[in-house]
Amino acid sequence: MTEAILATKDISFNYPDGTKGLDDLSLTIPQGEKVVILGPNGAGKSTLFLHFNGILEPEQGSVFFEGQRISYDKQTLTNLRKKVGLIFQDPDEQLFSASVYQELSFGPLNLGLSKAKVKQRVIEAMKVTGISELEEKPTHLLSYGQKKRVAIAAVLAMKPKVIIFDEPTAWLDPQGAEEIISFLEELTANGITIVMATHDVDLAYKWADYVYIMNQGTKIASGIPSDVFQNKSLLEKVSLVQPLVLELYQQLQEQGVVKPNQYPKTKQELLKLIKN
Amino acid sequence: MLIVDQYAYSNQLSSVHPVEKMIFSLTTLLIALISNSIIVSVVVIFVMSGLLVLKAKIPKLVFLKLLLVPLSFIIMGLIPIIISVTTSKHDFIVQMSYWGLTLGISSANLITAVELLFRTTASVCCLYFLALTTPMIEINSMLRKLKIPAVFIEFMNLVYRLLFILLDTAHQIKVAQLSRGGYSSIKNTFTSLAYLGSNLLVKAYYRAKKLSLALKARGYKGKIEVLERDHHLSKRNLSIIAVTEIVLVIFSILVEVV
Ligand SMILES: Nc1ncnc2c1ncn2[C@@H]1O[C@H](COP(=O)(O)OP(=O)(O)OP(=O)(O)O)[C@@H](O)[C@H]1O
Ligand SMILES: [Mg+2]
Repeated sequence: MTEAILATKDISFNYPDGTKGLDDLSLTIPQGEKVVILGPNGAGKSTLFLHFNGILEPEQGSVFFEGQRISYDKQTLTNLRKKVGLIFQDPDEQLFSASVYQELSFGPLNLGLSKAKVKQRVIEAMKVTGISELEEKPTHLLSYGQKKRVAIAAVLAMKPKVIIFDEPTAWLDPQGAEEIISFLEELTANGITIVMATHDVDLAYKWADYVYIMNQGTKIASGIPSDVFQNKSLLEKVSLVQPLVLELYQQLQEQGVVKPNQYPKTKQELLKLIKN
Repeated sequence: MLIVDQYAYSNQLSSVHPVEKMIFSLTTLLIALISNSIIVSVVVIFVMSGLLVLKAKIPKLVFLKLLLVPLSFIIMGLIPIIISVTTSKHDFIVQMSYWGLTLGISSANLITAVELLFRTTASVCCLYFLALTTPMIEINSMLRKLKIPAVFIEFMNLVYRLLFILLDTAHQIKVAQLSRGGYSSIKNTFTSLAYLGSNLLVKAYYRAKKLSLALKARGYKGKIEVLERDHHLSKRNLSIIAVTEIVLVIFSILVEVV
């Protein structure tokens, strides 16, 4: 594995009402990779993400960015938040501006960029997320999927080194989801690290370099997708199902239709294996 | 406010009957207000914070922070009481004179201020005891049982809910801003605050509107009714409360007489 850009070591966190958010969780996010975090509702994924850019501070354990332990002074946090962009699960929690344009300019302005630069970034971010025609609309009047796109654009405009995505494709129409995913490919091609929480096992299987499975605030499994998703009993335990392509492949393999150990990622790859 | 609400539901005294908590907190409040003695105030402060921290298990730091909010207002309000401005001579303990005007602190005023400080702190502790251990819905239903006019209760409810949405929205906006680098320099602290201020009301308004739509969709007709948790009055608790209050009353009378 390459060097870790983000890591947590034995972190625990409880919410003020006593709910256990994270429980002795350790994981590493390798630089430049695509990492997916899976887990049932309430597993602690969003809680973990709020630790990644220092919004929440663990009660025990430490969070590391580029090998440095995060201290919670203003200077470190400012620096961290410039480099780790967090896209919230609920766009209603993230958006606050009178117009989409204003919303997108907020982050880049905090980076201290010139007005012209900010404008350029905003226009670019609107273009890649397909919201250019919403520029002047107030954020609270958008549809949910549109809000999700604005939330994504608002973080993209800051050009962070790591993007933390809390369920990016939830609420998007199929084409929108497809667009976002292929756009993510572009980002990783440019060396950006992406961490994503999702309930979509098919997406996780085909897209991720590395997968973590969480349950009740802690890590219960990790590995490359084709390994992790073979463990049916583990998946059942956290109310997940096997990715369709993998399940079909395994059954076809048992019947001797395809050769073992080839693990197709997509429908097309599987069809190709069947033909050969 | 939000944090108060979380604790109201999750504290270790949440299963105690709301009537017991209300009687306890309000009688103690009454005694703290009537009594003129600092000692009584101090006793009330200790009893209330002791119960909150040790029994209800509210973290010390959280309680202290909450206490600081009203205290800072109280202390500011005390300044004009402590410092007197005169043109004539007085027997001040500390004084400064400028152009014939004398700024000074007299011992009588200082004592009044200290008394006031302790009395208000004691009262705040009593109210926090109720607020941190009893959810609003339960206070409401009790007021209803006490035959307080419905208009009054609904009004209180409305203010509470709106305040809740407003504060929660403000908190959300602040977290969202922080996570995108807001409040990181003096300059962008001002821009962040300006965004927060100018959008808070709009955003809270839409949230409140959605909430009311959601309520209507579930058949809301102007009165929120939910099943309440079952509580049982405990004779033991009631006797402890009665004894505590009687001791406090006797104590404040004694202090007055001696
Ligand atoms: N503000 C909060 N106050 C109290 N408890 C909370 C709060 N936010 C989350 N929790 C609790 O913390 C636990 C972890 O929640 P979290 O939101 O991290 O889960 P998640 O894995 O993101 O779930 P989902 O898949 O539903 O988004 C849950 O039990 C939840 O009820
Ligand atoms: Mg979540």
